[in-house]
Amino acid sequence: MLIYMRTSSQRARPKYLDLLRIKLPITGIVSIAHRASGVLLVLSIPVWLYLLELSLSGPQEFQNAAEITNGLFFTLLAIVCFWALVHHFLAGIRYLLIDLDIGVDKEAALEGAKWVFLIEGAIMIPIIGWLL
Amino acid sequence: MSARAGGIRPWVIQRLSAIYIVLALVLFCITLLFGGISTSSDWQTWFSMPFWNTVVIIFWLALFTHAWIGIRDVIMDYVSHDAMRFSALAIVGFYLIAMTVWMTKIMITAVNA
Repeated sequence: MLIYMRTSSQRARPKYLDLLRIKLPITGIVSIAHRASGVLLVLSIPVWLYLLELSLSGPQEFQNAAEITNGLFFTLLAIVCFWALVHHFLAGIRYLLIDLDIGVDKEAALEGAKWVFLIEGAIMIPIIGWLL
Repeated sequence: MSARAGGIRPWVIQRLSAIYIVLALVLFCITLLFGGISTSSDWQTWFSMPFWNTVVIIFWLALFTHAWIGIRDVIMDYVSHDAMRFSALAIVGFYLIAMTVWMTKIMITAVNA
């Protein structure tokens, strides 16, 4: 497998990308937001582990965890993380479909990217309304 | 996924872990909505059940693996300086190992509760 990986076709590919010089079409926005949301979700892991540990530590701690999650700061954080999760999920589904050769052509790819944002809005707007 | 990462294995792991994460989250949401968990002891009991404890541990491991492959690809694409890239990968690696240790402690405590 290593020999296969080091063939010349690898060398022809662009080495690194200059983020400031790229103008993104909607498919590119879905893609970069997939990455950004993924990074954000990884950074949020300690928050969820902390709350899980606290909530499992006893009745008083369970109550404390519930109070933290009711606070405004946590609510805002939860909205951002929930958006990240929804986007990461929907864009991920789109990639899985592309793996299955669904939505690969230019037209279909643009259409798919639009649907990601449409469904995202349809999920997020009521959720934000409910949480705030 | 980055073309430079190479190999079919991370590609497969990324997709399998994604599917497991989604299924586990759906199961967890169903439990929260319909599982009748309201008190601290309901919550502790649920996490102490061997089946659910295992589902949750595998969820975290799938998540950390998914995170590693994803972040690794992002770093390899955008951090062009060799030493910076190595440092960034090392920091993320240690971060995820620390999360794994912490998660293991939480889940072992939960099963004994």
